[in-house]
Amino acid sequence: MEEKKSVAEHVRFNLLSALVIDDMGAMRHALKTQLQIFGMNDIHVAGSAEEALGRLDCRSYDLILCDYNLKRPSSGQHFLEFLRHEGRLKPSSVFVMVTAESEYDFVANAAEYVPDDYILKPCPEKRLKSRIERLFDKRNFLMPILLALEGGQYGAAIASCDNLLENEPGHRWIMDVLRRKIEAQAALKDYLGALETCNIAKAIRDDVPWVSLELARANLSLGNIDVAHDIAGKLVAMNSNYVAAYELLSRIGEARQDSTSALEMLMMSSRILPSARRFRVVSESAYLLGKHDEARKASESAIKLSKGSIVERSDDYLSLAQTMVDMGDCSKAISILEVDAKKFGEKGMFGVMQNAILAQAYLGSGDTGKAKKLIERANNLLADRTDGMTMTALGKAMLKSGDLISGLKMFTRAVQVSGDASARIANHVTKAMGDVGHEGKVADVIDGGRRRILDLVNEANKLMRAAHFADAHQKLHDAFEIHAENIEALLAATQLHLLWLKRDGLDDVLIERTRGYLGTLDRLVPQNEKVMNFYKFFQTILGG
Amino acid sequence: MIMHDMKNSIALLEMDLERLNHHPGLPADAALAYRRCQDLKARLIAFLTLYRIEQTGFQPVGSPVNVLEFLEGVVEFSPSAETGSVPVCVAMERIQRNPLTKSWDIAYFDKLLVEMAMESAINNAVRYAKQRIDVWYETEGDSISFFVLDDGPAIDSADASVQQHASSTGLGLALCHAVAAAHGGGGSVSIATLPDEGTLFTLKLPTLR
Repeated sequence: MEEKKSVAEHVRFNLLSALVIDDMGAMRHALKTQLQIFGMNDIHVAGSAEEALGRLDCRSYDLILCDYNLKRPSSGQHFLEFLRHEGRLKPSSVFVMVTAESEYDFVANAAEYVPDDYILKPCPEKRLKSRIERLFDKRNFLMPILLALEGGQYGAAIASCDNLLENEPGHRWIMDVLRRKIEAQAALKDYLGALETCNIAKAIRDDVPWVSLELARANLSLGNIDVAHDIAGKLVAMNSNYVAAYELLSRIGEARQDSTSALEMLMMSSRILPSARRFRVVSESAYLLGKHDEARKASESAIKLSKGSIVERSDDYLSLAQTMVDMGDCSKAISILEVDAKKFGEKGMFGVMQNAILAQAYLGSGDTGKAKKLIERANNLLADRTDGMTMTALGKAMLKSGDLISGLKMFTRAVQVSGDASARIANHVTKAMGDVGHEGKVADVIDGGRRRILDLVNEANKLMRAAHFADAHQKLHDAFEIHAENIEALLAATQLHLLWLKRDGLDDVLIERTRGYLGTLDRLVPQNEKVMNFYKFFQTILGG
Repeated sequence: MIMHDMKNSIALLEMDLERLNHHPGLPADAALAYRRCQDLKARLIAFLTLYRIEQTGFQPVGSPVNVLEFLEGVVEFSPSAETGSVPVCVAMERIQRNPLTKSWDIAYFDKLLVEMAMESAINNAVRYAKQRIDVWYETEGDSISFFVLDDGPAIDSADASVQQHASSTGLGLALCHAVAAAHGGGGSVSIATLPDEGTLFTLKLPTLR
């Protein structure tokens, strides 16, 4: 009881702001009144996800109370998914889903986008107040960490975690501190550190599933694939609905180059907890494996689940249309793009890719003249812009139209500009070239030094994760010999040098190299989020 | 859709009555109206939950729960505990710390379902208890048991009104059985007379992961 009193005393309702989202006006009013009784004054309301987004465009809120069952098209879960995926929800904001008992098992099991808490409606005042107090008690304790994470200052976040671990080892929220530390370490790719922190968490409580999951993740990142598989396998054996574990098993399958098993795990996760995001991932994996029917079904499900909502994506229509072209149903592909996807117009990369896939479809249906016009239009729309997926679709259209030279150039360029997504784009290019009967040229296209660089960067990453920094540097040096401005190599080199500086202290040579890599990256990929985070970490190391 | 509207209407009525009861000097009937509304809501939700468990593929949601905190919350927020004339207490003397972690147990179960079951059991105990109701838990291996002990007359008493003790739970007991079953094999519900003590309700669950 004493602890509960102190929790209540620490939460100053009059200093907190809230956004209440419910499609029923009477419910909005009732919840707002309840919060006012607690002492809150700064409360806004919204009747839909769209209206709430408008509010969030202007300011942030400490507390968001959102009804799960908002009017279509966007539910509370769509809203939360959008906020988290777009990074619009600050770590220091508390998101509570208000749900009926008929929905709460779905809400609570939504592993990927989990609210901070959920409450059943109607919630008596005393209980609601107690729940909010508890949530803010936790938030207040974690605040230094949350603020650092908000700013992308992962080094500072880790330092805050360490401070709490040292000064408050027995605190009720200490496991949450450890979880945040693991999150920050993973963001910095300090997987050895993350593993160590997982073991500390496990020593405190060995019966918490997320600890085992993070242990498996850290081992996977360190290349200990069998260990990761063993841990993840045990998790699903204990809980057959543990979606995050299935998704990890899928990544393990990819690491073992067992794409079939990886797809099976993804499909399992989408069966347990269907969501547009999951279906998108299933669709792409199935497509790359040539399982077009599964890809089609998954794309259709993604569209169905997100149609009209704030998480709707024009890409889903492109994926579905491309799959239909590959299945030989060109008229269906044309209908999808010219009718169903008409609402998206011809904007940006969507417009380019739409024209490229339509060109493929018209070629398939025998209208070569129209196809060539569409290819020309796509090329004009593309202009000087770059996007690996779009260029792959356009390259495929070019090859199908008989323009071998332009097609191969387009594929090569797609691989070169793909940066972080190079492995993914390489897979798409490989499939696309195979589909048009040019599998013999895949190595030339991707290899233009590219695959060798990819291999060298992968080897460097493995050495980096095992803290063999000098060896990792040699690998990257070899990569730069092939292509001095390869983005992936530059990112890996920057990461390596930051970890090196962190471990061994300030060194003029390392500092100079790091500055050089960051400067080149700034020029090649300006305003890149990862590069900006690297800069912040670099400043932290330098003591700035 | 109809049920959704009904629940929303009851929710709004409850919130209105709750707000009204903040005003000083209200007649006792106002508080009674609020309690009756809470009771109605609880029964509706229990019925709907029971229906879902029995008719659809309801998946219980396991989460790590500090069991002592959970029980304290159940007792603190239980409408029956709040309004009944007999105190409902967490029997600390019957609860042991985990010998390995030296702290209170963390167990994995569906908080919402178990809370409903416990409220139902407490609601029933409040009707028959004389002076006290004790609530506690025990863990054993991969299972956890929750107990509600009231010092009312035995369930096999000749008193006709008391004979309703076991069957008067009706919806509540059915919900408790369903909650136990939803948690998988090994779950059970029992009501037994303890000589010189009273009536003991036990909800045993295998813990989820």
